[in-house]
Amino acid sequence: MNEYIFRLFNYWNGRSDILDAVIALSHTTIMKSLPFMLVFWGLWFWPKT
Amino acid sequence: MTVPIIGITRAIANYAPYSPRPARTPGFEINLYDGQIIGAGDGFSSMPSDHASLFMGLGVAFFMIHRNAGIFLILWAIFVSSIPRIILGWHWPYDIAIGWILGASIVLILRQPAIKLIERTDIVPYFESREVIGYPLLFAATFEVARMFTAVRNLLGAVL
Repeated sequence: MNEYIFRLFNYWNGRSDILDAVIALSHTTIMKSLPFMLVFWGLWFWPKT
Repeated sequence: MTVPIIGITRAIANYAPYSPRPARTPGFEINLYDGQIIGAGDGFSSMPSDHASLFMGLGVAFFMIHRNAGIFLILWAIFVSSIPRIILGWHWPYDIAIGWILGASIVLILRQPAIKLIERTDIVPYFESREVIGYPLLFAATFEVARMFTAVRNLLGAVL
């Protein structure tokens, strides 16, 4: 089961340049983490009125 | 909250039986993109995924503070921070699933004790009255979380 699901996802690795670029971009440090940091600082500084 | 998530996840990965990453499993062929280096994560057990546990834990923690932001971040943790690691061959699906469960569970279990600890130590009012120290430290802390504690790991690796 583990291997079967893995194959379903890994099938898409290297299939097209565009998809590879999207996956690579999604997995840069900034893309992985930036929304979490933006939400953290956004909530921190959001006016509490 | 992020420190116990990463600490517990890495402790399990280090002390549980070694599980090789798909890309490093002998005799197991996977799809790689052009120029992909399969050495990433060499020597680290793949079970559980620290990315999955950290970002799911953060998503669940934010969900408790702000519902809509939390839902967005949980979806981000699933589709951007975690699933590409399966596609790229760095993790098995079970590594990711266990990571999600672990991260969410740690946050749910430690939430009340963490709130009590923060209230008891008065750490927030302390740094609010000393913003010159508080904000740089908070920035450094969030920066390290964003980088998955890379500097802290390197420092500990050099010291230990």
